[in-house]
Amino acid sequence: MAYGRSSMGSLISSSLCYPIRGLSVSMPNQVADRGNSLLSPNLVFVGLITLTVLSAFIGEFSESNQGSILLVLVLMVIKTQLIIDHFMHLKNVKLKWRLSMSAFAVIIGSVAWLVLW
Amino acid sequence: MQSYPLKNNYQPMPGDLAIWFFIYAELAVFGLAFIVYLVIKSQNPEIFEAGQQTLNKAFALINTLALITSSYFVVKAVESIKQDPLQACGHWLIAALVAASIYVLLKTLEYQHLYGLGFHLSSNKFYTYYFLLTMFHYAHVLLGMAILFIILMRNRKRAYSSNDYSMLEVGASYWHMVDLVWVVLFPLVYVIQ
Repeated sequence: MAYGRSSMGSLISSSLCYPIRGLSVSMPNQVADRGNSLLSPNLVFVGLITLTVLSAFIGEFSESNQGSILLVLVLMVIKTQLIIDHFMHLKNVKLKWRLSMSAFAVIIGSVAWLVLW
Repeated sequence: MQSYPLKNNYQPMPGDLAIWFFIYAELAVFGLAFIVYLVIKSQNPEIFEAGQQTLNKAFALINTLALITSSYFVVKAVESIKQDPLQACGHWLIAALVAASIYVLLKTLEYQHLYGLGFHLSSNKFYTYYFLLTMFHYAHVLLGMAILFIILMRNRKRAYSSNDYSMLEVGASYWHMVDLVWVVLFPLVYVIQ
């Protein structure tokens, strides 16, 4: 993978983390392995561009109805999750940190759905 | 094969912990602003629909693509520093700044166009929230570009290496947050009518 290092490297980098795992950050002189993903940044980038164009296309050429609004909001949530997991590299951090970041788009998407429909 | 983190085998947050508290705080503020925008929009559908018609959707789409591209270039910059070619990291950062400049240019032109048409903060509820939301984000883009520029300068002085790039990750995380907010703002303000 694009970020891939050996599993030994991963073990070493894991052992160098601060002891409070949930609050740990990268230490200087430490290389954290942020690989472990099927999706390379290149593929994620292409996906984000495609979903953005699709979203704009739906907004421009389809009638504004329940289905199109829901689709645009779902595309928005998928895009934010791709950014969180693969650009911000939060895919393999503690779940509470990842979910609290994901909640941003999910809550706004849900409010938009409830309020606009 | 995709691997999943085992218990107690989570990765650390990239960069410095302080930036993540800052990012979560920023997202909370933006989140609240989006929710207020949506509630006001639901109460004034005609005003908001008329206002949305005056926006330049082509510019908004190009801006979205520019910010995503810029974010991708920053990912490549972080990726390249891990392999230690300092030159490549600098080139990716310059590319990210160029992509971000497209956003700044188009957004400035859009504001200029709207002001030319006589629309401003106090024109009606739509423009109040449109300008507040987008200008707040615009300010974040400018701050993010300043951070990327500082990182670029420090990289030229060989401040980062494959063993020590924590500050590069800090700047990258902030920049991805700016991108993340726009990815939410784009459909809410420009696409959904």
